Amino acid sequence: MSETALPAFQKVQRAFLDYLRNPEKAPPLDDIPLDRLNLYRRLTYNSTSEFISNALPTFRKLLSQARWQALTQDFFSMPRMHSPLSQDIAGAFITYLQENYQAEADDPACLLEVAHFEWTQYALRADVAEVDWEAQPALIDPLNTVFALSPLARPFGYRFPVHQMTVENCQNAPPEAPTYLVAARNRDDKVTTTALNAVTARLIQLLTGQAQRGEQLLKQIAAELQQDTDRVLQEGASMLHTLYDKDILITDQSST
Amino acid sequence: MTTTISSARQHIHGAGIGLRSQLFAALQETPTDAPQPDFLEIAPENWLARGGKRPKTWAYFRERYPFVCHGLSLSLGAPAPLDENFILQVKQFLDDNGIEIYTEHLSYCGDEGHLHDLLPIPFTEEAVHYVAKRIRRTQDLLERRIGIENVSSYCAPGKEMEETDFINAVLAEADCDLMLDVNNIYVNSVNHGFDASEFLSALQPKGIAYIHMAGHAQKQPDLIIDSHGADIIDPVWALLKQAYTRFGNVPTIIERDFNIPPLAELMKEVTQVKALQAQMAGTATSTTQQPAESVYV
Repeated sequence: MSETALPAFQKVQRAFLDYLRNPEKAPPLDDIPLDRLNLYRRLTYNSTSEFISNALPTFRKLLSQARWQALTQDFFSMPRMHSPLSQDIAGAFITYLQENYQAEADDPACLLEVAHFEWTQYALRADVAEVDWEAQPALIDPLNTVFALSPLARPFGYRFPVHQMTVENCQNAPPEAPTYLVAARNRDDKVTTTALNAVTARLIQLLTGQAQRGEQLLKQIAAELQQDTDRVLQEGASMLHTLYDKDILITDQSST
Repeated sequence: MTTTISSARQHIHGAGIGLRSQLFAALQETPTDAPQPDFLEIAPENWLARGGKRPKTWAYFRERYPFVCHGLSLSLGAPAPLDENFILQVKQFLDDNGIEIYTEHLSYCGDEGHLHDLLPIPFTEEAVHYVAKRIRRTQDLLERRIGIENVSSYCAPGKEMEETDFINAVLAEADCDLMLDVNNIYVNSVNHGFDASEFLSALQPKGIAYIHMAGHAQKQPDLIIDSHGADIIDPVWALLKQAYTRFGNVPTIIERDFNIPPLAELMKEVTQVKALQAQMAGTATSTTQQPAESVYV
């Protein structure tokens, strides 16, 4: 619909929204005192930026006030929050970062990885996937148990140790080895983060999308590592126990 | 015109509070002999499509209290298509939980994108028809008569008619109930410089879903921010009494969103509402000066 075809009241609404989204680019409304317009501007912008900073607290801390405002204002100036649910604001901001973010000289190189990590934790808290924890048996024999990755576990490999970033260390060069993490919502509905070594990360990767018996899984890892199978089976059994106790792995009921 | 209490209202009575996460623990620990809210209100936006702890908390409360739903993001006045998928999600939530009463704001939250706030619809004839049509469509999809709230505002862009005329026209044309926010009348009377009591008298609802009461923050002599972050002030209590006199003891929710006090403190306002309702019930038979259009059901 062309601008002229809009009903008069909708032209007013569009002009109002344009001003709220970006008062520097849009003219104020003729019939409204500027302080009242700016009050709406403050209320809408502030509540949006608060939702984002609550979801991404470390990301917020890593930026100066000016840079934070520039990024959130750029996001706010576009009609990007399509969901009626406020819990989806942070996700819309992540999509904005993925599509529009352009690094500036002072931005920490870990910024996007930190944003992604924090958003994943935030989203996991309310993820609608469920595990019937009551049906998960006590783990007796890990080697003869079929494991799957919990639908509430999210493994990652990052360049930076995103779970340890602070204002003080965020400008450091990334370590040589990648950082493997798994975020998971446990049976108490708490989201935990576990750092993984490369072997455990590989084990979880092998379980992603495919349930496997413990022994078969560890034998594959032993072969890949060209390590003694008995030793890997022994150490791996305890690794599986730990991951199961942390509700990162579950037993696959359909295969047992 | 005859004002009746909405038929859907039969499920709730008395006084309740808006359920906020800060109150979960206190409500769960309240001794059974302590004063209890008669019913609770939630925004479906904060409960649907969520896993984790929320559904468990919800299961606890819905077993113990009658509920009403008060939407935030339906954006009835928006210059963008109605989000019908969202309306159907809300319907599912209402149906799944046996909640009859759903209310929304006579406002909009953005266009193709949300700003997550309640913005003032221009008070024009054209806007009346537009919003009324969308309310009717919403009622059709929800298979329910809904209540529409008179909102607080800080300015009135594109205003061509009085707010009371706008509200009355929308209610009549949409054939929906009013969700009467008493505090918002007071807030707007200061922000826009009119007489709150006259405004209340001018409203002509066919039915009232329920009533909202709240506190606010007076920033300047002519500016109140509708913060829901303070105790309810006397002039707003006086307006509630006027509303009860006219419409009867409509069930009433205390909204508190910021500076949430301990539950016992909040319950004092609930108790005050109930005391006023008891007082009004006691005087109803002896009061002869009722406005002609009011009917007590």
